[in-house]
Amino acid sequence: MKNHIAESRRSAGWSQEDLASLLSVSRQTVIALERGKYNPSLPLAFRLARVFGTTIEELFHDEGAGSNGSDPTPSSE
Amino acid sequence: MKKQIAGILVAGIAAMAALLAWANAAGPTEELLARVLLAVLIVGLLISMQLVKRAHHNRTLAHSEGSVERDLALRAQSAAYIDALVIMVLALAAIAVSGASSFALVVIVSAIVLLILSFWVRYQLEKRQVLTGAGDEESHS
Repeated sequence: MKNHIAESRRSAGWSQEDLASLLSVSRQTVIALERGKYNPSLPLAFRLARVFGTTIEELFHDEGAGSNGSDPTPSSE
Repeated sequence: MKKQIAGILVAGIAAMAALLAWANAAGPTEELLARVLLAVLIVGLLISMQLVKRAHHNRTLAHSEGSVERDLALRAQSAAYIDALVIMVLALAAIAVSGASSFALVVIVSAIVLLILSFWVRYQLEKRQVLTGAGDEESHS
């Protein structure tokens, strides 16, 4: 799942550690999120959206949504 | 964290060696006391290592809700569960066939080591898959 976390973080002027601290997660989590290697839990996705003052839909976009609709399997890439 | 755990292990092994030396010197009269002390020492070592690990995780937020490490640990635990079943069945079969109590002890210790290794290897593989090449873009602002 693609996301705009890295861009949003940079435009907010935060380091990965700052964002990790705001989200109450480890810095490794922020790194994995930005690289698209880790899909966050729903509570974490809401926390991300709240921190950046945006919505989950604006922060994340499902690559498979255009091709065959929804993908019910949890992605672990 | 690794240094602290290594320190605890070294101290524990030294204490065990001292305890065994004392038990040998004391003779069979103190054998039961030596065994109990050894068991207490081993349990104490495990608890100490767990406390150090937990403090590290609390400090780095590695096991907080939503952290990738927690997710990876859960996945590794799920995979290691199947390994645990296989290892325990094989260990039980080995003990049933041999019947020797000293051999059973070796088998049980080996099984525990294998269980820990199984989780650790799976966790490291998952971690490498997710975090490989994760650059230290900005460590701090």
